[in-house]
Amino acid sequence: MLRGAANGDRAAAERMTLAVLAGLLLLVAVVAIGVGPSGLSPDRVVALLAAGPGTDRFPVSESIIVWQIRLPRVLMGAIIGAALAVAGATLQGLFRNPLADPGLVGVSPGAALAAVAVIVLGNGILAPLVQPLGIFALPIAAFVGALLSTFLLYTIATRGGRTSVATLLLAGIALGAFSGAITGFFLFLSDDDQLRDITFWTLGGLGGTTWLKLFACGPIMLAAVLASPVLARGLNALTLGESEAFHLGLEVQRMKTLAIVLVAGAVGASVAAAGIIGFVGIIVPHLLRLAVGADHRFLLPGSALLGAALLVLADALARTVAAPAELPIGIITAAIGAPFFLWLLLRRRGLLGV
Amino acid sequence: MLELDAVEVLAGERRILGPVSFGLPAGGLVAIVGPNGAGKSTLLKVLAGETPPMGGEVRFQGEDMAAFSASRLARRRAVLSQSLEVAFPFTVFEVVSLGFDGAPRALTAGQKAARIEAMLERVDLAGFGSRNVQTLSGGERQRAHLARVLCQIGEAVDEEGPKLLLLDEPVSSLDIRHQVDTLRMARDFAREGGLVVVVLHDLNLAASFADRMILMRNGRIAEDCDPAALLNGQTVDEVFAIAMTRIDRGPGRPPVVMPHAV
Amino acid sequence: MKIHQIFGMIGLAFGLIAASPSFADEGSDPQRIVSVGGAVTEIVYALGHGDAIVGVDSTSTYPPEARAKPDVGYMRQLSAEGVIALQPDLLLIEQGSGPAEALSLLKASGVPVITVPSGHEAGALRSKIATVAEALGEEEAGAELGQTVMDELASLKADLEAIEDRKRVLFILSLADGRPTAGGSGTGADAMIEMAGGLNVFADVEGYKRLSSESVATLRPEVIVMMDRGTAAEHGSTDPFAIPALAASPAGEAEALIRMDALFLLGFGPRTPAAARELAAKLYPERIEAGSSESASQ
Repeated sequence: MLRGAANGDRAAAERMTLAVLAGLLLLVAVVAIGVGPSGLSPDRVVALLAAGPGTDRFPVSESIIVWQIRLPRVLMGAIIGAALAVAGATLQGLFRNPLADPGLVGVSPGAALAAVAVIVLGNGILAPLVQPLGIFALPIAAFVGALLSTFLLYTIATRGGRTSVATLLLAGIALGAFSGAITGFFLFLSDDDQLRDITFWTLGGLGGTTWLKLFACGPIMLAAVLASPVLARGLNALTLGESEAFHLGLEVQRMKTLAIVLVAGAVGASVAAAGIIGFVGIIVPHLLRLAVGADHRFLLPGSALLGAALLVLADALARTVAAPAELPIGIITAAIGAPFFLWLLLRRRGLLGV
Repeated sequence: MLELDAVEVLAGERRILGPVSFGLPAGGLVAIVGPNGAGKSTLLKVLAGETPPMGGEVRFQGEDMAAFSASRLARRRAVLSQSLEVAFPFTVFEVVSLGFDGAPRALTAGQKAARIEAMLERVDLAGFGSRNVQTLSGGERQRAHLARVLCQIGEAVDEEGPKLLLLDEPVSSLDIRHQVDTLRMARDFAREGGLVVVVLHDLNLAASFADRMILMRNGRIAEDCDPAALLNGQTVDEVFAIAMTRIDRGPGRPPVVMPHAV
Repeated sequence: MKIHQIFGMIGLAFGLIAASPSFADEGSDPQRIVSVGGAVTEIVYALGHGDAIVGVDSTSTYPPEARAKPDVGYMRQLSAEGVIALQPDLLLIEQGSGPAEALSLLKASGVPVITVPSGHEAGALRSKIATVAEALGEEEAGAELGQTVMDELASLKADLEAIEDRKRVLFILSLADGRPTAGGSGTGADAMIEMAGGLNVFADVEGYKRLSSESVATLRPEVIVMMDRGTAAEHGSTDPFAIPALAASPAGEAEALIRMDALFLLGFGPRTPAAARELAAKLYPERIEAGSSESASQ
């Protein structure tokens, strides 16, 4: 028995959950703007926010903390969390597999390969490309790498206008291994400092967030999140299989293309902004499915809200627990997510007796 | 209502269907029978508009089927496939409501819920709405999907004409009573003016409900006639490569057949 | 949020790098220093300003007092707000610290940021010291310290001049999994071996790279140098001569293994001449005299 109304219609419970999640996100965001290692009091943060950026009524360092550090980070965290969770839910629906993640359509391996290439070869043979871009070379490379590898995979898996999800999956594994090999070769070429840069980039984090990055990457992710409900009915139908989705009246191919474009854009932009942040894309949709419902009309917006709240919370912890240093955010998302997920899984298993 | 003209389907070099040509008028229940690998499911996929024929043409209500969009097709025909796995933990209610999702109709949420509950009752799954569809038995799941398909197709005839219901082995997991119930529903749909094409293995069950039977062999039509004529003829024995014993049930009714060796 | 505020933010975002405020009291006596980079922190202490340090990065492990200071994390992953929260009036960072975004935020928030050049040569050491000294308003003491460092290195070089038969040295960075990673050319280890009068047998390779067992035979190292991080495990499981290829080398046969403290050996701060002399003394025990009090503090 799945919880919800007695007749099995969980729409009301799902609407209620969305409202609760929206409230949660708001709460977490407010708290996250309020806390940090510098210990500004909450009323001071509110006053700084009210005064606007670039005010001269407060010390410039306080204004910078609230307006240039915390606010863009909280917004970026919310957008990335939403984008990753929605991308995860979309891919899982597309692959009909609750364990699918963006690595499967080439997004993360492609982004990682391009980023490592820029880190290692940026002063060498790639210098003419990399130097003019300055600090934007890495995010731009990650984004382009993600899109290129996804496009390549999509082309491989599409024959006669039909994309084979199974081929996509297998080719994704092969391409992942191949770009892993090239990445390994770059690691071999890299010096000590580059190695460390690569390690930290791989762990991901919002430490480098600026308004500029937010304005560059945010709209892509936001567009993907806002467009995702268009896919909801299609993903629901796809739960029964591709044939059934067609029988139910869906343009399956158009939907697959849209889903892949959406995921590549969202994850590519997130990787560009904050490196690879794992776990959010798998855990958030799964959690909502276990706890509330699998209907994608609920799951997609629900994942966006919960993913946003989770990442904002994780980043607030990353900024404060080791202060004045900062923990990589991937550690926090896994540390919060994994035990809760396991607990839910075990409880659920007991309930179903399987 | 449905005409096939020299339809062929190839898998690589191998011909798996055709060429076949026949016409199916509205208001009938047609059973497709034949040995494994005879092309029954392929034929059904062609009729569903899912597999486009590589030769010939399928005309649905006077139009080339290839010209129908997926959503327009979904309003005129529904398909129950074999062995359906639901990938995520949907409730039975949610699975059935997918029938309303693909081709949107002007129904309120309340109306949909009422229809879904009525349909669940009709397939003998009253009170199953809140169950996780992944935990149902094979037969229960088959009936839940039947309810979904019936929700999708709605009335047998509307202002645009009769509709098409395609069922691929709809009774494979069902006990004998639910087999009969399911085929009764299919026959009701035909009586109301719709067209039903159903793939079945049980010759006697098929003969009891069908108005017409198509016997297939190696992708071709071996026999296309009324049930009594089919079961009384010798083609059945040849196609299935087994001698049949026939038990007569009186004039005008098809005989009961069973393999001779039993 | 009003439109003009959004534009304000965009303007600010673009203006950050350009708008780093000038700090008026150049050369004054900073009271709250955040020091990033092991060598930088050593220099600050050597110039007598250790008490003014309010935060260090995770590579600042000498002198031991430095470890008691708040840790702002790894030098390449600084947290802007974390550093601002320490309210520094001087931020000293070794070249290569980052990320760039955090540094530009710190500059924008009015913290004077001084970048200290990195490098392994004697000249680089002197300019490191000079840069830090200038930021602390200790030009004179800095010049003196710089000169001492140069003099010590020069006297070691003079002592080494008489030695013709240079020892073949292999620096092993780690032995993780029994697979040695060795220091090639362009590394701090290479510079240190050079200063101590040794011959880096792995100099044909650039950077720190895995060493294949077979190549050990052709490299014929006479001495192995490793870092001593002071943990028990280091001595047990990281015995280089447990690896057959290394055991069979001339170094293995003579059991010639030198372990030295990581930051002392490769920190490239004020203790570097002492470290070079200590290494030289271990390489050529009968020719070079072990150093002064510096190495005794190890």
